[in-house]
Amino acid sequence: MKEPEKEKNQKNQENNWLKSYAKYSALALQMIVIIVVTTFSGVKLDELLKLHTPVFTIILSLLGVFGGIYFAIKDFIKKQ
Amino acid sequence: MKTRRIIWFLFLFLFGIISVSAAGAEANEPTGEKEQFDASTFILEHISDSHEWHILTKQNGESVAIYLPVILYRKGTGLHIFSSRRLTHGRVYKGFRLEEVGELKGRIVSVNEQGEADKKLPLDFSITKTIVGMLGAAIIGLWLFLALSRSYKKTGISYPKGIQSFLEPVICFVRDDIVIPNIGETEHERFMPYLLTVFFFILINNLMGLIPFPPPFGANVTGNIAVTFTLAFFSFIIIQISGSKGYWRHIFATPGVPFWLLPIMIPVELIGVVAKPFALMIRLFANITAGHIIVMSLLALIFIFDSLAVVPVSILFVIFMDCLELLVAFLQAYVFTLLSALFISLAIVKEHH
Repeated sequence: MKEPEKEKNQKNQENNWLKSYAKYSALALQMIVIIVVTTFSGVKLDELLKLHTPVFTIILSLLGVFGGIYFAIKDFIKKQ
Repeated sequence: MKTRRIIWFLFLFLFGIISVSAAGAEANEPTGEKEQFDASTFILEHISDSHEWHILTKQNGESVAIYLPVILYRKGTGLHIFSSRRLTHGRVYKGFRLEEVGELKGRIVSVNEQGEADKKLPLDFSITKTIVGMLGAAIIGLWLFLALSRSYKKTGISYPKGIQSFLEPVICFVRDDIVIPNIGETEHERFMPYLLTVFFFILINNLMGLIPFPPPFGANVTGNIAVTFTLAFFSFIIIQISGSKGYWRHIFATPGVPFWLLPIMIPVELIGVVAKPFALMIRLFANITAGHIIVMSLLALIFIFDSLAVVPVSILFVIFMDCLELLVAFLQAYVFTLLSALFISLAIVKEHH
């Protein structure tokens, strides 16, 4: 490999490290945020409506987990 | 690359230990005759916003601080502007009091004649510590970029010199390595002003937060959730406004999804729309606050052990952490800009099915 090409490659790799750090950590963080926010709002909603069985907690936390996985897979495919 | 991983590992490891010890310190009640050092108050006072800029506490307990202006609006009595010195030591002024304990600690409340706090808080537009820090960053930013534009006006486009040689590579880096690879050659110019502003705003504030003294340096600006919320909110608005037809179709009628699934898919997609900027907000806030907490905890160790022998160890660790924070300051500015550009690029993408 020629010198300048090698240098360029090295620079690209450096950038790739940063870029993949940013992208994949965003993916994980997004999953966490979705699950936490939906579950928390479910708990708060049940408290507000004074429900005996925590219906909203169950529905929203399941929706959150589903959504988290959905977005993780969707974004992962997009980033490949 | 390996060393970086090791550094990150150390970072997480240290943070784990310190957050535990800080939580432990919180449980300690002050006992004995000598007043015990309370590490968590020491740290939290630095992390949180406040109406005064505390500089030092004299040996007799008197504190030296810069008292910042308080600007309040209360329905009925209108606008009030006065110095926060009038609210020190729990004093009541014009029917306002700065709460020192309880749920509303650090907030200004209206009180009645009996001294009871009103549940309804006055609107607080005060120039707080964070705002002074931000204004300082704005002045530094203006100074840097006005000088830059002046020097370009004078010399034209030639080889960079003076302040140009410092800022031009950074601006080119943002354009060539962050914005163009994501948004593309044709449309990137529309978003450059916002992305460059965000990049430099975060970068300058992060770096200013690392310099402990004098004011306006050393405020925890980008570690304030209200500031990061506002930044993320701007990104959110820009993403929605520049969203293409395809972007909205993917949300309300995801291609390839049977119609009976839509009632589930639409809420999920809407959560995704909000979750992306939300993650941006949390990430910047958590990273910068964590850095400040670690540095403050390491300094607090001196007072917890109450011994001079800890000083060199503590100082060494603080220097190490500061170097790491220097990396984090650039990294977080980079990441925020990169992810904003990435989300914008996902929104403006044309239909390609």
